[in-house]
Amino acid sequence: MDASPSTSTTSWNSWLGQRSRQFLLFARSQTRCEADAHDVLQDSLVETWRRAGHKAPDDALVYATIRRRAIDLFRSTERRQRREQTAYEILWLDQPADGPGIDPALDEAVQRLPNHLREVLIVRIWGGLTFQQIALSLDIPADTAASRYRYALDHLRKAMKQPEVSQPASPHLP
Amino acid sequence: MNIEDDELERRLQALQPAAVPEALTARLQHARPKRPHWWYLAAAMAAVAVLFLRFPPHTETVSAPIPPPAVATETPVESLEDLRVFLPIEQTSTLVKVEKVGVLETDPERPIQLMRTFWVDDVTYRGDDGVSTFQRQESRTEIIPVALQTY
Repeated sequence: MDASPSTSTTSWNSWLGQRSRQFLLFARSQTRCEADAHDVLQDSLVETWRRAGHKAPDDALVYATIRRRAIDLFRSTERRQRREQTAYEILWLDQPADGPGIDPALDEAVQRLPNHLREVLIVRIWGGLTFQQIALSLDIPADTAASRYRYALDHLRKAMKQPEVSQPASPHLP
Repeated sequence: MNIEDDELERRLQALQPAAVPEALTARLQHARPKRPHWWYLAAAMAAVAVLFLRFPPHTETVSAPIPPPAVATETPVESLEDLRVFLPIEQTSTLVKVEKVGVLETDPERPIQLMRTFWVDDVTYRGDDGVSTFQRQESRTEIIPVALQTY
């Protein structure tokens, strides 16, 4: 028989404590606003936890579910009404306590990446997935995942070399 | 992968995803999917068992086949305990009387005579035990159209 409810609660909270930062970052990259990211994240975590038999699921499955739920939300929202597309006004990335400090330019450059490059970069750098796992999560070939990762780095490097741009951030569409 | 990429990767890896807002953390912790504990299931099964014992299914209505009404009315032994089924195995129809009803001339060249006939039917039934039989006799009338010969 399964663990007791208190044990289950502990493992759920423990899993959230370990992984929710990474999952929230990916949810933000797949949605248009913070509220959508929260909704998509909660739905995806609950769904994957349940499907895994009430234990921590594979990260690749969680990323794939977040992506699917974000697409569903995007389509339903677009059918209902085209909302004002606003960029995130919060930083997605942070520095550890012992780090040199927050790098807003790099954060902004990551947010400005095209979505198909940004999602690969996020799950690779902060999700720690292999290209094979990324291929499963994002439903693309592993070679494509690897090349998109290199393109993402190219984009970032060029963006960091350019003088600061004061244009409003572009919308982030899944 | 060149040196610049390695440097950029190091800068990226030095960062970490921003912390989850406290309100969202509380919301996620509260949203933990719950599943019924095993003794919830056991309690539900026990409740079903109690109901089953307290209100057992009516065995008579479930197990007793209902014989055909026509047979049942003529069955010699009409006891409720008699569960035999009787099926017709032989029928003899005897024409006892014929009456002329009239002539229909819907088509003048082919008139039709309507005849009322009176029959007595003797039907023999055999039970599904292979031994018992009984006979039923009843009368019936039937109107038969007959083509008239005209010259």
